[in-house]
Amino acid sequence: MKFLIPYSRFLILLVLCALISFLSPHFLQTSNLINILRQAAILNILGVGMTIVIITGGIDLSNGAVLALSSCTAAILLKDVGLPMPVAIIAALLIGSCCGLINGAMVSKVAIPPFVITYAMMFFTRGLAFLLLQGKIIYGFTPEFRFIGTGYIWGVPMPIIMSAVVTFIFIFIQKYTPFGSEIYAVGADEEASMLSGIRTKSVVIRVYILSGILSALAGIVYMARLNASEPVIGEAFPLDAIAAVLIGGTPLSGGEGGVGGTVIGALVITIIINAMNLLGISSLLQTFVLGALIIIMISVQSHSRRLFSLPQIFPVNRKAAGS
Amino acid sequence: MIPRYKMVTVLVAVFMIVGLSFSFATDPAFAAGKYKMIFIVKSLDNPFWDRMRSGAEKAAKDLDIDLKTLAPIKPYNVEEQLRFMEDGITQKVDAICVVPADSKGIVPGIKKANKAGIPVVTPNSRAYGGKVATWTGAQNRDVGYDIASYALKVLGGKGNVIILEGTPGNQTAIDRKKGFDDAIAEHPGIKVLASQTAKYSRVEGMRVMENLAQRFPKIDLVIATNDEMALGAVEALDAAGRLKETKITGFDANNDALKSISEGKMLATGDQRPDAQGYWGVVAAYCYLEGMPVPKDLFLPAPVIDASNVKQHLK
Repeated sequence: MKFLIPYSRFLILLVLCALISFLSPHFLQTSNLINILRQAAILNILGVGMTIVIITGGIDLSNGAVLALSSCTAAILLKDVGLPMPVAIIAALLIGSCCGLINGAMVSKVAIPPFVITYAMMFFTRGLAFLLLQGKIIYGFTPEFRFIGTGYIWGVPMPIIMSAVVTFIFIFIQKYTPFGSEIYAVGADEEASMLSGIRTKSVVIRVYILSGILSALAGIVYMARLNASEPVIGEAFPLDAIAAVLIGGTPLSGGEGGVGGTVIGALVITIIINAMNLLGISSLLQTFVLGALIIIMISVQSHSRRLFSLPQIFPVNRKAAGS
Repeated sequence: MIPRYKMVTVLVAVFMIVGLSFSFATDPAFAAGKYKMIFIVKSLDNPFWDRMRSGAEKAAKDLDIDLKTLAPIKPYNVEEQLRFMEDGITQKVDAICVVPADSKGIVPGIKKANKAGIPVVTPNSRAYGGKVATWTGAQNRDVGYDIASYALKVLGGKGNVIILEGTPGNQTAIDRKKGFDDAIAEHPGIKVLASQTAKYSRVEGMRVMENLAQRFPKIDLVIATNDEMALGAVEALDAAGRLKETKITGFDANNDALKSISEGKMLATGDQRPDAQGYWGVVAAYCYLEGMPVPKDLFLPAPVIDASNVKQHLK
């Protein structure tokens, strides 16, 4: 039975889809499925970054704010300064990686808990975004830039392609590179990995940098899709991304899980919101329903792990249990 | 050689200090003037508040008032607004203009100001308690009714309509939707397909519209309780190639929305003239301080803007 666990989240997804398609005939239409994939793309890109951070036993609460700061910077460079598109995009990615570098350096070198430093970083970067734009919204980008968010290649929307490419790259890193196994090693036991010759601090820093770059990338896709950039975007993203990671079966204790599960987590969250719109669930109920369903999904994950005595999603009693 | 971790710490410190000095540079202290006032808006996430701020600042300049405009870091956060009010009372400002993010939540702050003898003016949104010198603003319900009536007339009184609601529980969202509902009730040929929240945000407006477009093959009109959501709906329907068959109205007359109207992407919006609300708010506080009588409610008319008159509003 134990071999079934990796598939349990897949099962959740299938049950959810079956249930909704039974309730709404519009759900399984090709156009709606593409719609869902496109909407899930940004959450998925952020979720991938969050996954590798969580595998090392950390957390990145700043991804939504880093997304806002980097997209606002790119918007200013594109619209106000008039720089060419590649320069603006590279600048945004650089800002993302700088934020990640600070997060990672503070976590590994100064030993500040990830929760604390990324939480502070969230305010810092969001505040900078506000200062940069002064409450304005930058609106209306060139068709070339908007192609990243709204274009198609062989009939597939660009955000889906970007998110798929990111996912495959990170699945590859995770499975086939030394860095991939180092991430797991650091998350499972940092001291032991250090003793076995892994440069753990460098691994942690690189993981946060990657998360920062992915946040910036998500920010680019986001503003190209929305045709606007504003400092408040993505406030709920850190928590959405964490929810996607948890539904995907990567425990907060680190050392386990993977990017593949997070894809399913991101899809589950997007599908729930899509279904609520399709079914016409009252505005007042929507947040409640989303919250309740996330609790149920994570409980199922958590329970099936306990059933087979795998490490828990929430590492509350880890020390007490003597592990 | 300096150890690496120290380098990192120093770099981070420099980064933070630069950021902080930047923030102080944009946060001037009170200068000398006849009166000291603070003007607290709801947030900075919507150009609406920026327009209100510029109106208030213009009034302050015209009347020789030292005005400090403040906005909560977390949008629509009444706690922060209360803190601003308390700080203002401690600094002994002469008057406080505050746009309550929460009509009930702001009351303790107003009561404290009353106790300190500082007059309070509430532009745009009302407070449900305390002693308020003047409220200035438009009736959200009436503007909503005007926009919806105009759009329904354009449709010829029949068609399929989707309503994008504001944040659940928000007073302006409720009032505006009431205006929509009242107008729709007068047109029996109108069918409301769905009424869903997009939380006043552009990205939510886009997402909700993408999802609803899957379910409804024919949508004639989308009425949104603010421009941000309307612009999100524009992007969603544009991407789906359905913008031509669907008319979209917003609310607030943000620059982006005005541009969309002039490009024919949106049908109409309502202009509450937040700059006028800010201006009149400061003027009312000034008159009160000068011992002149001020009206309890200062209604400002809010015109519907469409392609015919958008040019004169577009900046």
